[in-house]
Amino acid sequence: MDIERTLLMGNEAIARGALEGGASYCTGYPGNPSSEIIGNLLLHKNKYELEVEWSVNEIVALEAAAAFSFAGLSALVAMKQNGINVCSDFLTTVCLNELKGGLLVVVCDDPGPLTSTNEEDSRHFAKIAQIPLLEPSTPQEAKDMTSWLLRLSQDMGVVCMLRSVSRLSHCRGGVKLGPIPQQVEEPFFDLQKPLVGLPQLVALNHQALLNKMRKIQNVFEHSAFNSYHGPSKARFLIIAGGLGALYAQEAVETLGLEAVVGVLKIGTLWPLPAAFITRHLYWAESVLFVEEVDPFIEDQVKVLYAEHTEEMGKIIFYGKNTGEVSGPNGPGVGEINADIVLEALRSIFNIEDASSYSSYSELSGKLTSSMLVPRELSFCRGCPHRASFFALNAALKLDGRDGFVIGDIGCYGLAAGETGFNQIKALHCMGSGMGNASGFSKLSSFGFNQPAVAVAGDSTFYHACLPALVNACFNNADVLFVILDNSITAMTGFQESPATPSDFSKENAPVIIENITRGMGVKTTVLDPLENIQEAIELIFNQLQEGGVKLVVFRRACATYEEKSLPVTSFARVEETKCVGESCGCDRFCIRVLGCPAVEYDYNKQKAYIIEDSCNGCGLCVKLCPKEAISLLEKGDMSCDY
Amino acid sequence: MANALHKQQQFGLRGLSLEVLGTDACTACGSCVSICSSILALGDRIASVAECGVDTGRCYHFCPRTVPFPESAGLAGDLGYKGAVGSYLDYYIVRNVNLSADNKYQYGGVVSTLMSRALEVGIIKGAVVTRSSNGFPYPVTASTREEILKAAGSKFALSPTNMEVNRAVNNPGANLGVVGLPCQCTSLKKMQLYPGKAEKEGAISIVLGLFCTWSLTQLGWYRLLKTIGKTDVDRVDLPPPPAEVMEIFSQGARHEIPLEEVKEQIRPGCHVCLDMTAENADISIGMVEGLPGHNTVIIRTEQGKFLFQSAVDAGQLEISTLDDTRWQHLAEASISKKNRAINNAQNREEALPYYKRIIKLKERIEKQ
Repeated sequence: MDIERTLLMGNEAIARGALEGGASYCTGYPGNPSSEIIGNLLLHKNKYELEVEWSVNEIVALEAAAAFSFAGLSALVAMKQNGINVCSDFLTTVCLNELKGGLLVVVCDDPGPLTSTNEEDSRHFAKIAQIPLLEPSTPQEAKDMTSWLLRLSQDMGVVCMLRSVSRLSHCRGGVKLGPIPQQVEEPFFDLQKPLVGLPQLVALNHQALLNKMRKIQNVFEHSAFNSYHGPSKARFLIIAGGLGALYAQEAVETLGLEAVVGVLKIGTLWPLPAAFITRHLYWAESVLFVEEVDPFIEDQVKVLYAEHTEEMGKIIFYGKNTGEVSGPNGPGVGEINADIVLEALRSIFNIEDASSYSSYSELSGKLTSSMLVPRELSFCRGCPHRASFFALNAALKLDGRDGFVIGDIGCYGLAAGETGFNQIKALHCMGSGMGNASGFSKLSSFGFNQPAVAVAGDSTFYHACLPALVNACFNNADVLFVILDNSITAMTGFQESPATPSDFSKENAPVIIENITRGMGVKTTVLDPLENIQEAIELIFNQLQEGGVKLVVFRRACATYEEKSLPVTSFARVEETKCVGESCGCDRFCIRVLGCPAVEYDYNKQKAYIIEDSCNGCGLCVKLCPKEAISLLEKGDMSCDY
Repeated sequence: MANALHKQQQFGLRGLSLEVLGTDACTACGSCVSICSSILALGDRIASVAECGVDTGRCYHFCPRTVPFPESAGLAGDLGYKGAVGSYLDYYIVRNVNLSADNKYQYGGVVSTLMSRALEVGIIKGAVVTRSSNGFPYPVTASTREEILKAAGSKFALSPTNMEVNRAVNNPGANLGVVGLPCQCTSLKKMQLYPGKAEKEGAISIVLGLFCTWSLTQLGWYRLLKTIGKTDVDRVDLPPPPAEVMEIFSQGARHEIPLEEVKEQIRPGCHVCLDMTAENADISIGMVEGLPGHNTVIIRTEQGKFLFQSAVDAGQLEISTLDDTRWQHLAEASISKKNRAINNAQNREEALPYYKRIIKLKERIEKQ
């Protein structure tokens, strides 16, 4: 068989691994850095016997995927680290089942974080649920581990877990492709083998799971995903997981320590291949741990050492617990990289001269600074959230009770900054805004009168807000919810949400938010904030004066997504004779306050101007220009040359 | 001293936000609205929705609660003390000779008559007046007598009238008359005197000021109307003591609200207002004690005198002498408001520049 080798992103490799591992169903909820796994599978679903879809949240995704496994087919669920919290309730019960088909949970962590509200290390869930966990170091391994875990899951009847991290999910590397199997099993749910978690059966199932994990540990002892590079009987050992293995290797080579330092790469993180590690620990006098986020391997190896102290003698451990492996914010905080490992080795080996080594971070900074234009965090041009938060800001200021907005997970999280008029004052996890806001309203009996408005996007609304909304109704909260419905999951790359209209790209009709909320008895008002900015301010203000549960849907399609399928037909232009620039009466309002990337200021002329190619004609600056100096023109209309 | 103060403070939106907007000194007169997009109004709510980098701005200068600049320092009302009722040329008891039976005039119909006359003789091209919708006031620019008459009758909740002035003066050739409360008249005078704004010179030609003891917030007014279950208000009146009630006439029925409840809804900014008789207007107009259907009219400026005389000459107004006893009572009531305001300013926890300034007037008022 010819082996095809191609360049794949880590997440593409995982997607390929799903195909090679025989997955029949792949689903997940979008979230950086995991989104490209399902995104890529969706692109190719028609080529293979494969069901691929986005789910509204991670627990639903896992539950749906489990159904395939129950029926004898394999399935994969992808999510970011926050997602495993959402699905953990089901995960920690389905793990007790004897599965028929493979069931693999892929979790992509975001150390740093780059785009998350926490820096959670998802690996702990493998311990909690007692499921096998692998972590790849390269895109090749990402693909291989995915397909291997799907088969292991089917063979052993256990849920399996793969952990990736941002840098691996988004880096590209050469990958040798394998064959994609044809589906051979006919799906069938065996009524003789019910999967009912009766308390009386839990202990038996738990025991069976632990027995399987012992067998799997034996398999891991001989796994090719674990390897050792370095001198035999190394007295200085680096134990590394995931990308840490590459960073360790690079640091050792940079400092010329190959002759004295051995690198033990661990790909099978739970259960840990204890005998394999012990064999290398036996010779070691010092051990350095390199892994992303928490000291997961580090803690386990120390437990292992405690069990073998007498035979191993004294070992000095270096890592996150002892502080040697540390980024600028301290050990266990932020991403690790080769520089951090290098500094740890220099400190331990007391190497002062590192003149031959240039810091990777510095080098990358130099390279990128010439290519990237510095810019503020800002809503895109034409983004309807700009209008929504302008309205929220204005209404809350007019209300005058020091009201505030509680955010949720989505592009609109940027409203904690200037682009959203610094409106968001609390931001945690999917759906938390509505729960928080309900709670704030209950503080009124203690004399609290600051209105708390919760905002959530359409995708977030379906994901996690419905229970909070029902709770607010159930408990008679006085609270205003605002759904920023741009009809797409924009932040993670424009995945469809249940609100996505069928004429976008979906065949099925959308699930209408107001149909749900009005059915609950919630007073719901729908408005396009860009078209009706003044009405939007009045609406929010008036709703703040009313008691009970109120819901406003600010509905306007994501401008950036819309541009992908519909031509931009208009653009705004400044009439210079009317523009008063920095003078009293304006002070560059369109630029200074609205912060649209399409609007700039000509300091020579002391006039604002709009970059025609950037403007998509949302019209917010037209409506808010205090001098009515901006008007909308049709694309191609040059007759109005001021 | 003034220069040093100017250097220390921001005389733009930042200063206004620190000194007035969102404080208990703000009267919601509307003078800072419709100048730019950084200050917005909804009903009588006014708020700064964005910061502004302009150090010296009209929003600050026009406000009746900010430091009077040299050009406006000599004014009366909240800006200084010019006697119990401010400076004046003359005063009368006045009524419209053609009061219609079903009119909604609060007293003698003089305000509507004078403003209509100003339009008629071409002193102004438009009049900024306050209309009501479902009992809630809002400012409009009227350009005919009929439109002015639609605005007749007192409104007890405040309307940010001057935001309509700021909007209307931008119309080419604007030449406005304005009917305003004392705080609004003070601001309008500051607008007229504001230096370096040639495009507005002559844009405000006549200011008719209404006597005012206090005004209600629109939210407070809404709460009061809710207690009687009505929003379609025909007329509102405050009968003289000992009747401690507000009368609201709606669909032919009379409703009463105890004055004590009404006063709870007074705008906090009114409690620190020194000006009962609109001392910075061209003509000030109010009720006449014990004489329903008539107005007290105080002529303060030459342009006010010209308009008033024109209406009298045209036979539209009937005038009589305001006796010394009534004039004395008016002066006492005005002084009483000033003293109350100063006491309230002294008792407030916030140490706003406006409070500090009006407290200094106490000595001059007491000497009187």
